[in-house]
Amino acid sequence: MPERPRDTHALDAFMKGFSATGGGSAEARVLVHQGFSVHNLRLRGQDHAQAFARCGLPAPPANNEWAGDDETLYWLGPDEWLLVCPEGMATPDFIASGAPPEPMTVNDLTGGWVMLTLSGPGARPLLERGCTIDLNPAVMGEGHCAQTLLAKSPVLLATHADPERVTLLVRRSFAEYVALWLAHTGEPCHIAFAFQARHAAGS
Amino acid sequence: MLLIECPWCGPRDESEFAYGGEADISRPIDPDALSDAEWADYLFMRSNRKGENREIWNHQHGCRRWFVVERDTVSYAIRATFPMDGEGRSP
Amino acid sequence: MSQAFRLPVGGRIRRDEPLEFTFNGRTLSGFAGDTLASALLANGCRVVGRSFKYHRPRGIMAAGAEEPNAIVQVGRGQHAEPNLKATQVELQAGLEARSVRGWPSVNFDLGRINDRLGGVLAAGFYYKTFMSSAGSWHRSERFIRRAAGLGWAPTGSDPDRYESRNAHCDVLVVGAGPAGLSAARSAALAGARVLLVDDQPELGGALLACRDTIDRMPAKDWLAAQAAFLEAQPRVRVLRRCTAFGYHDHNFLSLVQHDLTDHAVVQRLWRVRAKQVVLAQGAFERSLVFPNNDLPGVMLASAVSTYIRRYAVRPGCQLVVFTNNDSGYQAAIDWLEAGGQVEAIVDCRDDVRGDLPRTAQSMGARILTGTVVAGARGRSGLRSVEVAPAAGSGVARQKLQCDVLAMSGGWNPAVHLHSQSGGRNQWQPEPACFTPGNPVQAAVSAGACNGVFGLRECLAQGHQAGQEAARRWGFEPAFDEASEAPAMQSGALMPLWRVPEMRGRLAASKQFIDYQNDTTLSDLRLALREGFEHIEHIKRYTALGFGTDQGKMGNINGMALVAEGLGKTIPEVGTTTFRPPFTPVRFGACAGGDVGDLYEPVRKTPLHEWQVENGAPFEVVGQWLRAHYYPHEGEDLETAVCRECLATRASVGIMDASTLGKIDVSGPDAETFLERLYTHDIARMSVGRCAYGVMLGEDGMVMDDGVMARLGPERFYVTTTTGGAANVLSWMELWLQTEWPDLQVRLTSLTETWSTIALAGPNSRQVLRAMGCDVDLEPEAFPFMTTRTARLENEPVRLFRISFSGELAYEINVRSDRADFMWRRAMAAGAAFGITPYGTETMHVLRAEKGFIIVGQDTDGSVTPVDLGMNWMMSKSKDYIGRRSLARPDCVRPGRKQWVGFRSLDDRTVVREGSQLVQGDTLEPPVPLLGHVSSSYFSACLGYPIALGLLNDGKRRHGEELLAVDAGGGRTRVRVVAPVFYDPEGERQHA
Repeated sequence: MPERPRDTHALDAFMKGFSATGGGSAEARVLVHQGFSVHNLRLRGQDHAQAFARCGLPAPPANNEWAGDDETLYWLGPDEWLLVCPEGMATPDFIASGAPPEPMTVNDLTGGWVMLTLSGPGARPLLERGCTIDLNPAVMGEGHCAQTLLAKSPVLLATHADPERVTLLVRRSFAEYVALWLAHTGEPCHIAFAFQARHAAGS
Repeated sequence: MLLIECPWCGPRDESEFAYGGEADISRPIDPDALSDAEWADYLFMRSNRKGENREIWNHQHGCRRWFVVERDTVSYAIRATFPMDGEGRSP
Repeated sequence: MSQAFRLPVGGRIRRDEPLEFTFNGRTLSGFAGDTLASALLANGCRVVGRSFKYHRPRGIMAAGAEEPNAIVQVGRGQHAEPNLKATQVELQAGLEARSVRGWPSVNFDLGRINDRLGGVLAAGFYYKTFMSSAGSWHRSERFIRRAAGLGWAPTGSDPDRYESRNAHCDVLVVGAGPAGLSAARSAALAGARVLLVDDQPELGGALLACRDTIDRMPAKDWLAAQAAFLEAQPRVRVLRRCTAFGYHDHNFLSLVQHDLTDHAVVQRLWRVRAKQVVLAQGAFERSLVFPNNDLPGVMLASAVSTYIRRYAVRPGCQLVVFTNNDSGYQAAIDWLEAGGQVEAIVDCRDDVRGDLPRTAQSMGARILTGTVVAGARGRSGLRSVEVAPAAGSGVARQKLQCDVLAMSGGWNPAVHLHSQSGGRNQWQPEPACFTPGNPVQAAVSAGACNGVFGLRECLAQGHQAGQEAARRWGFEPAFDEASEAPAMQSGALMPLWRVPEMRGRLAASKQFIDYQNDTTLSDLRLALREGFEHIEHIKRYTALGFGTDQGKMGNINGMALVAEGLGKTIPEVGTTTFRPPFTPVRFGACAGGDVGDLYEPVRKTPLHEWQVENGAPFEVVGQWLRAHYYPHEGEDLETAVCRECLATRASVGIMDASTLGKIDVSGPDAETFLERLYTHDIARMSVGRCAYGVMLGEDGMVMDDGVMARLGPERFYVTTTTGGAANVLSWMELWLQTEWPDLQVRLTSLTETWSTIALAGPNSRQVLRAMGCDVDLEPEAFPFMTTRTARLENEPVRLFRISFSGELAYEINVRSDRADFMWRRAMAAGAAFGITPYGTETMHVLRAEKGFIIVGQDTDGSVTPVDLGMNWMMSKSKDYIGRRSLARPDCVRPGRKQWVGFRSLDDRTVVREGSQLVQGDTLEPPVPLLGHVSSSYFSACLGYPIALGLLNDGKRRHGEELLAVDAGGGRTRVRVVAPVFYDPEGERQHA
């Protein structure tokens, strides 16, 4: 039986070195997700809804929006979406088959992205320090997403019904910079980091 | 810091964009049919008008789309932005 | 010292919070709510500094950002901050402040000798003296700087913490005086998101020293009610101690906020994008120009009022007011109410009949109409003034004893932000000032900064501006009324730019226009005599309006006097350009949190941890950190690289190549698309084939290179250089989206998803086998320049059989989160072959031995593939970007620089990269430069140094001897050789 590979997370070293726990006083918490899969979906042609339906997907989210519960679709561009499935969820058939229906191009980006969820009353004010888009919940509310810059790193940012929760998707090689930035900038609000618990092996 | 209306993502800071120069410069269909002078004109010569200009910009840190910006190079006011093949959007 | 000048009651200071501080080493006391300036005045400190050039004693003149004299250094050690105005430093317990000039002390300054040499040190002194003899400036600079500086910057790094914040609002209101508060209130009532900023610790602006009533209540009660209302609004954000210092394009403003409450952050840079802006920063009072108008005790009239009413400090006993308008009378009224003695109010106007003069008169003040202050007298402070008729020769003079002179020359609206936004200003003859012209961005000016000086009018205009701003952004203003103040009658101002020429001693006395730069009336006259006419030139010749106060107090006087000298009107002379920042801003605040580790993103590969564990020093490539080499105990770069090179060529080496850009090019037209971007024939690539590709700019110059693989009929995997990854993707999208939108192609970056482990060396195949590779690795089954999907260690990977070293080599592409696992397994599997990790330096040597280029090191945007001898990979059967340019006359001219190799004749010296190549030994100018060395290393495999570079007509010069000269003057004789040093037949990579 070959040794089972251990997936390394881009923030392994950062999390080992990050001593501040924030404890109960943290106004912002960062949850570092693990084990999810990411796929880039590109469409040719105009009829996006039909193409999505052929793949068994719900209607494609409109510009600057995201949708979904466990399996989420983020709008990236006029012909581009990002499909994120949590750990333990089977890859959709149209991807697993390796042959997506015609106008669709799929690229597996798993391992290339890091996902963080920021929560707490300090979450948005913290992002305001490095993000130039208007983060007011009235402007950037439930179901909105934006590709933008956080400090000097490109990020995909998604907001929820709960204004104190923001999801950040970061390219792997920028993850440590972003984590360092969050840790430094969030110091005054006692920012805390934690890995999301992994599913038990084999489950 | 300009505020540029991406036709897909809406108004964003200039820092998310890359400038691509004058718009409407078409690549000659048959480059060999051009004299050296004509080719050099396509390569190097730009109108660089004072005032209203059509430029292309790329939303590099956003949706990665190239689009057209009508911008006044004196006041820096942006009159409208367009997808490469579409209708304008006023800021 | 007790606070002898502190009034027993009144002011907004908090008397229950006494604070101790030191000034020039003396311990003094003040109260919370004081500025350093008000506390110094309360303690009777008249002389707070020495002037820039003449070292004349100077005192506090103003109460705000326009203060030219009271420049101090605050704090000590690395926390020290030079160049602050005492009027803007909030008093804190334990504050340490020093004057920035005055040696040995401010009260006795040896530099005062300059004052006697005034004629020598006039405008243009530095130009005239130091332009005449080369080197004299360098010899003198040290002494001049010490005498003339504005403080001492700490030498270490700044220990303070800064941050920046981005903010958006519907209406930004700058200034929280009567106009700003009214604007914020009406915009908020209309429903707009409002950001109200003010540079003071408390809102109110001029209201903080105001004795009027608003809405039939004392101004301070109205102010408290407004502040409470605004604080309670969820859509209103109020920033105190916050200065708007820059108004940029598209309603983007930068503000700096001092934070004394949050001890973690000392200053905060706000970057605000506002839909609408209301400018309500008020106005600055003008000084008056007369002999010795800089003596300590000469102050702005409004500052005298502010110190009395806001800070409960009456800075003297006997007051003379010198004014050309009604507002100067306020100082006399406040002075009398504070128990002081008013010697006289000197008013240059004949006809005085406003409400304020009437009040002053009714309180017993003596008014001298049609009179001017002909000059001030005193040594280290004001003792008396002489007054004379405004019209006349100045003979009928009269002396008035006084220790404070309150002067008012009218008001300059703070048009700074309006001007920075691109707006012009217009001269208003009536209040004799520049007011904002039409706004060019979405902004409106209101109140005193719009040239409206009455309280009643400021309230009304602010209210209207707030409503208007909200309406223009789509809010329906609520039906609320402007607050009201009683109507005031005031007489017209009489412009007074200088007093009549005096005879006697006063005639020789200096009359200051710009106090901070010691620019006098005679300096301006000298500049005019010497032919300067444009105000921007005069500014630069006389230093008028430079300095940390940027001429906020005296600039208009200077322009008016220039106009008089030139026989022009003031609007014809115009103002100098207003540029950000409005007041000085710390570099630390501009840098914010982007310092240290966060200065720039540091991108790390998934194999970074292993490299750290194994002691690799890192090299920054683009934003990436790449392992440079892997030193063993006692090895330096050179020995480690020699060992890595030899081991790789002899057995097997392993390298992290994950930083290479990787792009998926998919779609029915993928082949057509790549044909147009790369020089080689794409159509001839069958599925599973790899090819080296070069991408040109449309100008024909090499832009990027890399290996591409055909994964399917409609799918390619293209790699780019590490530094070029983002540019290449953007370049591809540019052509696809703008020029060929008909092509059905989609591009996706895979750089982050796939990590690349390079195995190079004759035993690399054995290592793959030991890793349980499930595909046939024999050369016939898996030849050079092909790719296969495979399983290694039971994990799916993609293998490329390509080589950047000339050896048998493979690149393993593996999902990034499994890369660390795969690398460690490869190390284990390779142990039997002595597998040797190597870094970027060895990679460079190995490729140089083969003559392979590195784009950006060996090319510089002026090199064509023909120059590099790459004709073999340039298709003749298709068009591609840049092809036509290769036939341009300059690209086909003989003598172009071409890619060649070099060997040092002594076979020992490694030529320095960047060395220029010349012919002959003498280096007698002119020396034609024939080319340069772009890559140079010691080759351990060959046992001698090798170099590569570009040389005029290089291909035909093989065998010639040249001299390589480096920037340090080092000379090495080299022979031109072919650019491939190792295995020129290329047999090893086919093994």
